[in-house]
Amino acid sequence: MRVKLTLYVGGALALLLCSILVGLSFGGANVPIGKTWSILLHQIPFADDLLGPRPVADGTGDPDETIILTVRLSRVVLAVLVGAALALAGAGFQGVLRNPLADPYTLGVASGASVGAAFLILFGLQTWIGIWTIPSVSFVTGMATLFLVLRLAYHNGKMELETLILSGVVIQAFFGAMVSFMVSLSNSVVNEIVFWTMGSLSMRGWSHAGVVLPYVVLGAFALIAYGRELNLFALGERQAMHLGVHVQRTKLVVLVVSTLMTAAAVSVSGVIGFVGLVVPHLVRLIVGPDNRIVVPVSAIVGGVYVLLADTIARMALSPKEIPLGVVTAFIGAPFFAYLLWKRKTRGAEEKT
Amino acid sequence: MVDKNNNAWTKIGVWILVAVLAIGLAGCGNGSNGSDSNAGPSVTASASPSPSASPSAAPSETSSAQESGPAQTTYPLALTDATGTEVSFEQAPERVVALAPSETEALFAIGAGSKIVGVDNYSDYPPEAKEIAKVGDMNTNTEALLAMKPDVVFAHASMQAKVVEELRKLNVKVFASDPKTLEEVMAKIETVGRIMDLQDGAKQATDTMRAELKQVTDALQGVAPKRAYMEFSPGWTVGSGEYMDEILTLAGGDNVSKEKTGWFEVDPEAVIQANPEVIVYAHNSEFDLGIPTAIKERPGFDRIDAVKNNRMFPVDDNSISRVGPRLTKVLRDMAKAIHPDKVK
Repeated sequence: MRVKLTLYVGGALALLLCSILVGLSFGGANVPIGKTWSILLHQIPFADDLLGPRPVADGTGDPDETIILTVRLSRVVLAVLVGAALALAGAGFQGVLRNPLADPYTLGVASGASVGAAFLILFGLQTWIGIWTIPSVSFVTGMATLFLVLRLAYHNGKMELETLILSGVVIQAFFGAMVSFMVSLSNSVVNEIVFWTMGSLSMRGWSHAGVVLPYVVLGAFALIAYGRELNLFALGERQAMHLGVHVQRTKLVVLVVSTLMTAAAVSVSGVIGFVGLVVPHLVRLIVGPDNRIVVPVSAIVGGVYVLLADTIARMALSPKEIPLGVVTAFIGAPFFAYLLWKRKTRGAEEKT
Repeated sequence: MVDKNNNAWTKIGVWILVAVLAIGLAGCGNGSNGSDSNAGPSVTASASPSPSASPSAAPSETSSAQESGPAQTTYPLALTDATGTEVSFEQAPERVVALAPSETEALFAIGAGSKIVGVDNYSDYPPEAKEIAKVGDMNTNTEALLAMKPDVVFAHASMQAKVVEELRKLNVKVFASDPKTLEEVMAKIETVGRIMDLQDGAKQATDTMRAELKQVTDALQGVAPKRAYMEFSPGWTVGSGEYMDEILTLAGGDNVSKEKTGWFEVDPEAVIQANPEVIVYAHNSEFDLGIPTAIKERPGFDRIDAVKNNRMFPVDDNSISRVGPRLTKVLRDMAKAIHPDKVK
């Protein structure tokens, strides 16, 4: 298992590195690729000794350096973090709910967050308490929605899976309608609410990446630590309990951790669909069902996926930027269908 | 059982509280410098429309035409509108509906305000327009509109293509326009004047516009344009080929996004690289668009000259976003902002 883990995680990391190279090389400002890399390499401590002096006089006046370091690099890092958060959350939800259709948005977090964001945008309160207004409010409403869903599903100290998913669907439908209602009330030239619900990583910065980072790190640790329990969950809750798993505690921890990651990601990037659904499945099709491998590999592949999707979103129709959520769905759905079809024709019958 | 239940809820509550506090703290740290940066120069007063009676006299070449007596429209009048449809008028329309704020403003400017029986929800200028019955937003309430029995409906061709088509199926006479330049806006106002048999009113309106335009172009004769960036809606700017780019250019700005066309979401990298000297943004007095705060908070934007030197100026959101008679006023405001030493 350890060999397998090293192999897959190593492979995924190599893929991530390639994607970061690609993501950093393209952007709206036509900074030559050579210069981009020289700016980046000079950020590594002591690199000056190896590479010789900087080609340009030290940074203060050079806009290219600002562009690469402040705008592009932070966006790339944020894309990787958001992708990792969503994919981890997806792996967590699918594992603990034993439902292949579960994804970070099943439990209504995204629509709850959207209600908060839409409300602020509708009443022009986006900068009410600075640029963090929308992220913090949507985080709070997202979490409140989860609380509501869990409350609905909780009965006699237990949470039935079917009830939980149904509560999620009901709440999601209701809040979705509320967002649509606010969209119809809005009368600005460009409908910002719609754009928010389609997700974007544009014009975020290092501070946004800093907000998501702790959630991803803690979430990854928590889910990896629960990897064994999640494997036993696949046998069914009762069997898992007989094998010594604290079923309710595991469920609670995994759900809360996954939701926190989702809410953090959604609050900075808007709604980016399909990542949490597709990535864990994709990883499972390749590495097998062992959650101890699926969870860490999903995190890395999720980062790769969102980063590449964001690069396409930025570059494909430049100067127009395609909403990120649209790109992730465009790539994700056909690719997922292809994998399913391929697996079917091979006749493999393992359940994911 | 009950105890266990409560215990679990307490746990969830604590988790959520911790998470909310964490993000709340992060928010406060950055929020504080965001809120006081809001105190930009308050130029709201100058953005509000100046009195329509412009002190500057009409150009001399037009005054000779005025002497030849009031121009009359001869009916029947057949015109082809922006959708390529021929619209004919047997007599001057008495009951008019305007489906876009730009059309409402044009009608009022030529003196046809009293003939308007219905407007869309966004028509709020001049103030009298607010008193007129409403017929809905982008989705026009067809029943309400039909009940008004309009002789003609004025609409925006590209933004309301579907509504226009639908109304025509119901045998409602629709005249749709889609001006792309300042010249076309003035031509549209004159066409509306012909339709309404108010050619003098239309001429007065366009003369005022031409005078305002001339005032700006005269003042900026031989003045080098400044690199300028326009944000008309949070995160959106304009490239060449649109009237807003034309206005910005006429105001002595060199649009940093001119190499691209149409309306699009801002590419922050490109703006930082272009390093605009002046930023012009839309400001709505009733609705906080939050553009200047957003600009200052964007990563890397603090390196832009306009932000460093606090050369960011608001223009009236409604005037700049409507292809109506106030475009030249907003042009003058913009020119004042970009070249304060040249345009008074």
